[in-house]
Amino acid sequence: MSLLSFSKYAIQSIYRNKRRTFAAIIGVLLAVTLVAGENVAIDTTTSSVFKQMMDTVTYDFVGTSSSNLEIENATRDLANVPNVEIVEPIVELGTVYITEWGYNGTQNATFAMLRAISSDFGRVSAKFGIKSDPSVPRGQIVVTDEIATHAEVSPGDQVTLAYELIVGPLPEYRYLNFTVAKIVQVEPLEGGDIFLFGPYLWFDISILVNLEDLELLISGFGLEDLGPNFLYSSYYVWVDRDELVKAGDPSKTDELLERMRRDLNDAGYQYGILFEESPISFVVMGFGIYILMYRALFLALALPAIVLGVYLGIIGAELGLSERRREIGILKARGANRRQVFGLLLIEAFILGIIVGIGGLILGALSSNLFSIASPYGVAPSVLELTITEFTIVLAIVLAIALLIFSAYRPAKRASTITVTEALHKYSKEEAAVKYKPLRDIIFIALAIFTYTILILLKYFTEQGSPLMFALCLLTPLLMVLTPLSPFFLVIGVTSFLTRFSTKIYDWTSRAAKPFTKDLYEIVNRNIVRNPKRASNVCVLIAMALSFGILVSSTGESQSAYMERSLEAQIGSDLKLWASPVNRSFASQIRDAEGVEGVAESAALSAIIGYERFPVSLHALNSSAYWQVAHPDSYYFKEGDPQSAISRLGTYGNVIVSEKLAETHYLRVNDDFSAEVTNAYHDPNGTWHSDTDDYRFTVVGIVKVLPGFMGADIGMFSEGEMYVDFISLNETSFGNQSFSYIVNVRDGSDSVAVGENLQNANPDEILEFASFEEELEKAKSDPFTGALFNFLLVEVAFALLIIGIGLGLIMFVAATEREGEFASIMSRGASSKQVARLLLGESVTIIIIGTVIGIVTGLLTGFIFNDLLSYAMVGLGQGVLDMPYVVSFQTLILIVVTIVILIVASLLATLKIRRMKLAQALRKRGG
Amino acid sequence: MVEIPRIVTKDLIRVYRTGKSEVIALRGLDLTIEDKEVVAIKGPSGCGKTTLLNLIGGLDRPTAGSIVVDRANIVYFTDPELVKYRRERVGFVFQFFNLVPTLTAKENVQLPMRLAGKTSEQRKKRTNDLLELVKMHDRASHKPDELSGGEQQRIAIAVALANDPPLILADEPTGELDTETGKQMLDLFHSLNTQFGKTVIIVTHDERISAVAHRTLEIEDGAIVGMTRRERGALKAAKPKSVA
Repeated sequence: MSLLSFSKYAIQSIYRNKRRTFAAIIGVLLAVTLVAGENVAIDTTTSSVFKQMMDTVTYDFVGTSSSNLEIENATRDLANVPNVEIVEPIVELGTVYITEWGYNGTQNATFAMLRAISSDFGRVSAKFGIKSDPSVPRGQIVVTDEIATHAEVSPGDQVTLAYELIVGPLPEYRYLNFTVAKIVQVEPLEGGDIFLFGPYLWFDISILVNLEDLELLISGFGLEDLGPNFLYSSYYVWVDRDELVKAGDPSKTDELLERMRRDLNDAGYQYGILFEESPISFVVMGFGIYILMYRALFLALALPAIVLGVYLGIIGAELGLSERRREIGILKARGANRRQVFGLLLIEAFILGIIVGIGGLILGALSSNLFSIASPYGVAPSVLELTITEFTIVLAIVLAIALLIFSAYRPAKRASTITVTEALHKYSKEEAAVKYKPLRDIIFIALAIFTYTILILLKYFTEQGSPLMFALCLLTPLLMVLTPLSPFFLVIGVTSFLTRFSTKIYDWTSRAAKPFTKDLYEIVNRNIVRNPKRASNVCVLIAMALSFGILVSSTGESQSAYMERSLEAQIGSDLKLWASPVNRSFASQIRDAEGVEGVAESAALSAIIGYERFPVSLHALNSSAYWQVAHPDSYYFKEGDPQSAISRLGTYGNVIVSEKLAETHYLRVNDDFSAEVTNAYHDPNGTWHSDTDDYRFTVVGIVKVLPGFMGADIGMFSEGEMYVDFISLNETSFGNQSFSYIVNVRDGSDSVAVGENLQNANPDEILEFASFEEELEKAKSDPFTGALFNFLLVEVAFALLIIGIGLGLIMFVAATEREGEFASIMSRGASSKQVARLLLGESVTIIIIGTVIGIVTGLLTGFIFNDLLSYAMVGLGQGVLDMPYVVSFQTLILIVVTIVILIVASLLATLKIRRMKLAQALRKRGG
Repeated sequence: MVEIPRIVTKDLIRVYRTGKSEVIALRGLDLTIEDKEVVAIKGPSGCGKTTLLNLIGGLDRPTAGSIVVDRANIVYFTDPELVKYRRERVGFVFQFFNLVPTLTAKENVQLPMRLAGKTSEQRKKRTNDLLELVKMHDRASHKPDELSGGEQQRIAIAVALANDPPLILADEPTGELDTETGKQMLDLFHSLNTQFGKTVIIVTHDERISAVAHRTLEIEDGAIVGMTRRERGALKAAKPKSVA
């Protein structure tokens, strides 16, 4: 009997028990919905953006010919090619001058391109920037507004066109008179907005004639004298884009367009017309690469949800098979062999995969508006037209089939090997006590520890400049594979090991569930231990989702905090102004402006220190004003207390140096060193000055950077920064320099408005300004980062949904499986509440274990990830600011929400107990 | 002094609805059971024996009619009152034992007492007494799947007696047991009645029950169709006492 003959049985089995089917597919369905939804969102938004881009493509094909006079026939034949919508010929007749009869090239004249167009040209003229109807009556000309203005002609004027023929060593001029029929307005096309390949058209300097006058013009100007190739004609073709252009599928589009080009070349061959590659191909190709990149990136980001979905799928498959043991036993008793049972279960998984793929696609499409917020193009969902590409359809179905077969494989293999006698028993010890082999989990934990250790060592050796760094670099390919997988290894390995290696953890934790279970807590423990694999799987599910949520949440918060810190280091306070060289009293003008609370001026200078004459950036500032405005916190200070260091800076000869400078020159607080400060500038007359003064400074503080001065260094080769009060410098060291101002605004004042008002009031002095709030808003609204983060948030929501359903499902099945047992307990005096509390106690035990492991691994992974990210962002140990690891209220909310979802899911599952009919439940054979 | 019957059912009707079809399990059944009486209920499969037992035990509610137990009509009991009734007044013994498979014999016996909120000491003492009574002391730490059918049923009887209920309801208690073990079970029920004054209702097909029961009721199609009475004198000689 072939395996395929089981298909009917498999379909019936899927249909017969809907709850079991639901349990088997829900995890994978959610994961596929996430992937399909994001891909539909990418399809939809990219299709919308693609359409906008396609609107800027002037034409679809252009073919050129240099000797064809059969314009009408050629146009007709090209128009007959399938999928061609419009063909418009433009005959380039060469250059002419609007001038007087007898022009010989030496007088003033208006130069123009003479072009012959058909009477139908008006249907495409807008694509070339022609704003009004350009149709030309026979025997007359139409001139563009640019030409009309230059030549001072009006409609109805008689003009002479001089045609410049170069047939010999000197140009020859031939003349014809025309009446100006009308003037058309032409807006030159901007090169950046169009995709013009082939002959570029300057329609704004055109004189247009009717194509039907072509022979008259040729003979009138004597163009035959130019030789056989005198006439240059272009055939602009527009095709049915709906048929030929597939957004997001560059190779298909390319193929269709190339086939189209071949057909056009075939049709134009007899007229000597040669078509170039369509400009659409270039757009599609570039776009396709982006789409592919985004798809790959988002698929990789969806990995946690996919793993969770698969895990829930495995749980569902195991629950289903545990219910079907009897059925499998009967099948085997009737002669089915192991291979047939295994095949049947895999066929079911395959059929379910197709159903889930289609279901996920539909759900993904229905919820694609939700995913649009996570689209890298950031197009408002309201303007979108739902688009689903073949790629998304294939991806959803193949992914669903693969995940479901993967989920069902091991449970099916195990189910196929059970013995008939064992399977025919309702309660089976063999099933409950699945033997645990810790090897997989030990390998997982070891791999995670190995990866993190290598990464930390790599960072350490790089910081220390140790040659061992190069040895570890050899492991880079391995690390690239292991690093993204390590969090999964860690969570799965640790949770599975802790919950399966020993049952003690349930014993301890079930005591924590005592408030729910009261004296019955021992029963809770026993019941979890009864099927530890099932409980362990749910713990893994919870731990993984929570760990992922914490990782996303803490990374987002840390990124945000880093963003704020960076901006604080650059701007210093609410506002930073950059001014041209001004008098120092300008600071008081700023201070007096409306909304300004305080101002600290500074000047960026350069200095040379040490015998090696290292260049250093020197920031001159007013220390007391700076303290009031910027009020730097201790984070920035490596040595020295902020307030006393800034206060000491106000004394002559004191300096604060950056950590980088301190390291390269072995400086410590209270060290003295010499510096040469050079003030180089152009005076108002443009004369170059360079004044140098020698100083002796004492270090009073070492900082990462002083807020307000990051990125304000002089020169690229600065060895570090030093900060000095103006009091310590001679006027000659900073006179005529540009000043910048760190400003804090009054409470309730809008810093952007204050900056704009100051700039408007002092347009010559204030060159530009940056507002902390505005810059922060800008940084946070970066569409790509926003899309990534939004996607991760949607994914966290999916993860919570998966674990909620996972726990609810397992509790529901537990309630169903143990209905007889619960009924017998109730017959002995337990209330439904007590039994529900028993179940809830089991849930709470699992929730506690999963949550604790999830929080610990999430925080650990988040910390390591953040540390490495911080390190990568600041660049191999040379960064100034490190990324803070922030775990704030948001993470706490996530944890609370997770626990609430899980408890609600458990409570819903216990409703079954409340609705249980005792007498009926007791009829089923129990223990 | 007039002896008040322990259980009186009147016009008891129970109809089960399965989809569109209806099954009438009991058709206006009238029954009176005296205090400290042992009553056997016999009849073919599906005649309503278990339904009657479930209704008397408060596991199910009748469609119509009344069930008065110790002067209280349990039909009007709220759910919490029924729970209390099952916990304190009734002890169930099932054909398939219905022990919690994850708990040991001792823990199974303790379970009803835990539900009733008994203290640890109370539970411990009573469990020991009950295990002694059913002669299962040496098997106290075994789980149900490590015990034979007869042993499981002994434990199930100890469970039923845990909160010292005056009424014992047994549904086919010998159905899963071999002849010898079945006989031992019936003797145990007999001693519960004679030594401890329990009112016992046993649903059974076992013919040996007539040696134990004061009355044997025959049920067919949801109604009592016959009754056999045994002389009650021997039972009266027994002085009721608590199991503990």
